[in-house]
Amino acid sequence: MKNLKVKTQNLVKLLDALKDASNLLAPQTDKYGDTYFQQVVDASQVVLKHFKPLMPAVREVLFGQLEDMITFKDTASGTKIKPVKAAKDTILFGLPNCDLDGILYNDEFFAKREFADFYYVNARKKLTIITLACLTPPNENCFCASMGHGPFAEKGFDLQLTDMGDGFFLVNIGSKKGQKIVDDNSSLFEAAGEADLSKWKELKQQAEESTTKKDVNKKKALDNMGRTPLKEQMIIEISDRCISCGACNYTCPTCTCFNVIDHKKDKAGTRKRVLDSCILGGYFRMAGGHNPKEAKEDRTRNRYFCKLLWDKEKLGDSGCVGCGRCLDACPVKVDIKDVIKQLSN
Amino acid sequence: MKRGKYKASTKPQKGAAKNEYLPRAVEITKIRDLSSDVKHYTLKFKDGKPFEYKPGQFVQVSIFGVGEAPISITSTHERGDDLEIAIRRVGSLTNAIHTLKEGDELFIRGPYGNSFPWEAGKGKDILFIAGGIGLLPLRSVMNAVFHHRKDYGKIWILYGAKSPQECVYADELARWGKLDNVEVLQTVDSPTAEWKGGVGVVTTLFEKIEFDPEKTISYLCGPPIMIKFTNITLEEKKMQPDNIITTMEMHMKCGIGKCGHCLVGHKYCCTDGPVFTFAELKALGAEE
Amino acid sequence: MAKEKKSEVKNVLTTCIYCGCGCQFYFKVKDGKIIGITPSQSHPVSQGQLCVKGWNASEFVHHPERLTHPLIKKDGKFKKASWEQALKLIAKKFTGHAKKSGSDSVAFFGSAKCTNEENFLIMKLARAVFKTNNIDHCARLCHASTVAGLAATFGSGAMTNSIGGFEDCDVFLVTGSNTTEQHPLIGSRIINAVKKGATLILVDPRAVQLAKHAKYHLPQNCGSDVAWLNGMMHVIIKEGLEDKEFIKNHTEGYEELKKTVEKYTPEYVEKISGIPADKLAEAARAFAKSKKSSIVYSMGITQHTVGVDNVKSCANLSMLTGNIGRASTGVNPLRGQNNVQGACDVGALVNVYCGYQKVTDAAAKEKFEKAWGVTGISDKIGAAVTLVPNQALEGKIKALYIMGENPMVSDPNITHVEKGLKALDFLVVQDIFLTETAQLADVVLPGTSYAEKDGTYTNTERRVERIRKAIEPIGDTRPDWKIICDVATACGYKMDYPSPKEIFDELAELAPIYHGMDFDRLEEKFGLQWPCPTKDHPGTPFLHKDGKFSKGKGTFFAVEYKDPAEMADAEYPLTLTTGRSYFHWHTRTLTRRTSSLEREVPESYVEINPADAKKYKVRNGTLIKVSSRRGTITVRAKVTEVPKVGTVFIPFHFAEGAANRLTNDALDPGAKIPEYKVCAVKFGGSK
Repeated sequence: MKNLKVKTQNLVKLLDALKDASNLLAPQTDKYGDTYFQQVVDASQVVLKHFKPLMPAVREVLFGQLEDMITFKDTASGTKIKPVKAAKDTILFGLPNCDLDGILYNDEFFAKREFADFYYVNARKKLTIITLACLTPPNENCFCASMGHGPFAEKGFDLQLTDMGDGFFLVNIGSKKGQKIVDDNSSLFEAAGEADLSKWKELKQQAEESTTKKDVNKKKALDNMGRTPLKEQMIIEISDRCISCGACNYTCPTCTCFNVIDHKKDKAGTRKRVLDSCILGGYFRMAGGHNPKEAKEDRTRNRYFCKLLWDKEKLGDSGCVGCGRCLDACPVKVDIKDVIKQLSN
Repeated sequence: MKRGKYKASTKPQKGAAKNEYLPRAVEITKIRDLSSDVKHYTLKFKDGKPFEYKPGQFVQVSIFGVGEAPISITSTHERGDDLEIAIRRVGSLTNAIHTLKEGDELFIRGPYGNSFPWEAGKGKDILFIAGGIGLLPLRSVMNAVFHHRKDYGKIWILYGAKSPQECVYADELARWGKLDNVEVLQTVDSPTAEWKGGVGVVTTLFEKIEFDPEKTISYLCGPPIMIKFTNITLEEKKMQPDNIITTMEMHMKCGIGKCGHCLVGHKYCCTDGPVFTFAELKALGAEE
Repeated sequence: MAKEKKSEVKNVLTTCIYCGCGCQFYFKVKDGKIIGITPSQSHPVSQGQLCVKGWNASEFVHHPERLTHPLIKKDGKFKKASWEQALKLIAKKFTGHAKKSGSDSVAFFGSAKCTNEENFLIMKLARAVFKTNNIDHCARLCHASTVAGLAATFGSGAMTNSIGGFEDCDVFLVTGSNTTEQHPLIGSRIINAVKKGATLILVDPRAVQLAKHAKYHLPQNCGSDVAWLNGMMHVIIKEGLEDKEFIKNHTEGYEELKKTVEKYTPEYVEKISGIPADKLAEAARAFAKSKKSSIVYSMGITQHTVGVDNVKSCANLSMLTGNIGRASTGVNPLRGQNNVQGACDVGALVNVYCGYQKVTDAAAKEKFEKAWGVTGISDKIGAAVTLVPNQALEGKIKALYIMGENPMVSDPNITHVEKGLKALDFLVVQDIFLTETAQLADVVLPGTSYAEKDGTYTNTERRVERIRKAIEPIGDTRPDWKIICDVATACGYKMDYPSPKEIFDELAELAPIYHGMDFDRLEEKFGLQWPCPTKDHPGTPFLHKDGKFSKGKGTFFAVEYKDPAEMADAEYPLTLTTGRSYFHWHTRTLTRRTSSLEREVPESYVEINPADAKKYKVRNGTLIKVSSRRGTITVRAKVTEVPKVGTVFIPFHFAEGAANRLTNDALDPGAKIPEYKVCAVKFGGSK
């Protein structure tokens, strides 16, 4: 990994240049106090402090809440269909590592298994990722290091920036795309020395410690989960509180389920996909009415098995990246950490 | 701290990905009624390109503007180029399909899913057990087995339905029943005056047959409750779960392991199934 | 490499279209289409959270069935028309009838789904242009009894406290509110408070989700609310748990109340309500002993022929225990629609102008005549929504203008409503989809959805919040405020506002409770809670501070229990109560066009207790007939422990299997609210 550094004011200049070359989405705070990914118009407005958006970065361009897939039109010689055009070049700036790992999960899920997902793959090819390492947990619900995911990234990014606190950001280059950005704007960067690197390592270690929850033992929880059934009392308690809003799915960086719907007016229309939620009863119900998971408890249990254990069996690691968003967005404060803790016992 | 293991790559795939969601147009060349609410469709691809599939696979069938659903293939590729599917009227899409006429258009993509391991059963006796429209997906493997009749021993077909009106493929069952060393037994819950078969659930037919669990493969398909009780009976008769093969029906949107709806344990019914042995289903915690 | 044209991506903060919680979220808009929703993390209600309807509140906006151009019915069939044609016809018919048969021969329905500005304008259209007070909206069907009951007791007919205060309550008395399903982000706060140690008393004939969290779930017989509330007060007074100081200093009418509740011993109440005497007494003690006790109610209290009495009884209980006028206390009617509070505030009601100024008050009449430059505004109270079908059948009302309401599903005894609407000479419906009601119209005008216009909604905690235009109007639609302006202008009264901002300014000028608000102030934070009388007033999180009631002293009303208008009997042995499902909104106009919501509950059903299912031989999942004296419907049986024995529940959302074919259109004599919550039914067809 080649390392450089960039002055804060030069970073703003870099963003200014990037916004002209491509769609640049970066965290900005609006006048109501909310921070989220927005199209950059004025690079000086970009938030340069690490942050965790409520909606994971994968939802921005790769796999959204509502996406057009196919347009269709009835003609005299039958229905003519056309795939919706591929996404445009986009740079996502300022995402935390949990979001990067979420995207890497989605890469595995959508792009690398049998039947690659056309829409995901095309959007992914056009995406450049510049992450901002989390020096401290963006909020109290973060526990990424306990799940083995961060808060600094080691791979998968195009560029990773770390605020060194002295007016500089350390720059890790993770890919050819990242290298090209650096090469195209080489006057803005300078070399990083040994001292920078050792300070960076120190920051990394501190950050990892601050996002490690001692009582969350991933390995033990997963081992136990494979052997014994989930504790029923815990599942019932969660189900009794759950108000079926779907937020734990909608905000999860590794939830990939979708529904497909057709919208048609007169002779033409669009086939779309809608982000789905396995907490909803209709998710499993078949035409004709039979539902293999009629009880909310069954769906709650399914969600934790899917997220924690089955993902490991399918893709090599548990789907939970420890971002804590399912708790951030949960109206009744169901905490996946509690589930993992109980499972570790 | 051990790091998360999702592999890193900014280039997920070389070359342009094929758009698996784009179906091909087919013409309905023939429609016949199988029962009051099931129709059989013979389809021809408009692009004229070949369509290869194996017994037990399914296709995603669309009418644009209404929707898409997984439907079992009931024909057998070896027996001709025509693709055959049978559809029961249960929801908005299947209702819409039932209003179509010969010459109308449908959209098909696939084939998807694994297939019945019918060749592995060569040299053995075969016990088909179907309930209601569970006979539809089994027809593909039945056709395959009858196509290679000499490779198999004795064949039983046990078929149960709610009423004689709801029995599908009656003509074919009658034809098969006349073949050597083939026994077709039928039963219904509510018989008519003319009904000649048995009365009661499909498991009552077991009293009329004798099979050797060691040298028999069983193919089973039907409603969940029928599967449950048939499976119990088969296990009582010492059939190994490895030799009981079924095909599952789940809510499904994409057919290619992406939409998530058809999860059975950690497997997807669409890509890992729909054909499973009972041994596999048990391991997945989904034997019912 | 040639540079691609960039996508335009923007995020627009707006207020949810569904319930009265008033959550705010961002529409994510890409190239003119909404592609996602993100809850606001800074907003005091949403706090980064939404319910399932909120998360899915954009799919219907781009639904292909949206109305895109005006329709005029010719020979029983709708034909596409221009705006000019439609407006001309409406003006001709409405002015013609008003001229020929008098002002009160025309009537208008505002809409609790539309903005304050739009309701203000339709109110102005009725009053200033047509000189009639025949202007009402669906608040008549939900909280008319609250407006009347709380105005009489406290002086202000709205939720007294704020949503934010709920998590700090010590005791909740929740009755007639399925809070987790109908006001999910209030329900979640109750669940969180219970988790932190609060006590929940739930009085509801159904074991709704909150029952799992309730220390006392007391399933009452439908319609027995005055009895059990009097019973609680009986126990409190008998055991000396009343707040004597508060009663002495801040209330009137206590002695009469005391006398009335004397006979309501828990044992006597048990006979009427079915609530075990000892449990009721325990709950009463728990409520009285805490200084942070909050009453939360909804349609289960209001939708009765004794709706106003029920509301007054709730107010009595809160004053008796001094649980009002402080944070985390109060009487909290949860307003159903996103803007039902606002539609009331701005005067889309038969008896008041904006800010609850009475039409019978000569000074108010003069004020509005002057402001609007007209004379001859009516001082006669108009015809309520629930009276319009009868007046149409009697020939009194000839032309009706409905903005964004669907009485053909929402109103009681629909068979009768249909007759009434068909008896009209002329019906205009303004909506975004061709609803069951719009199908009966002579002219249909396409409004825009909430994503295509600016304006304000007022949520249940009296918070006036902005909605913001995120996309251009779809097809040839116009924002509802613009349509009303066009109609008024076509009728000869020039109504012309550049934008909703100016309409709001006029509203604030005329309504004292909104007086200190304007769009700039609303823009600063997440809105303001009324009353907000001056430009420097910060808004009011809770009403009646320190026992200083809006009307001076709070008034106790001694109320006796009365039977519902129709009770189960030998012929119709079951009690039907109606309500909503979490996944649908009212008449399903929006939610049936939202895939994830429609998939959850695609058809009507009847909840039946297993004991009743056994008794009447009903199998779970089968289609059965349910009949009342007014009609018969076919619905799917859902056998569940949720309803108490003898009571069945049907959601009212569905046009097929419509609960309101069965419901009783008997009205509360004061508030004119129908008794949706109790009627007698049986399984099977009627004779």
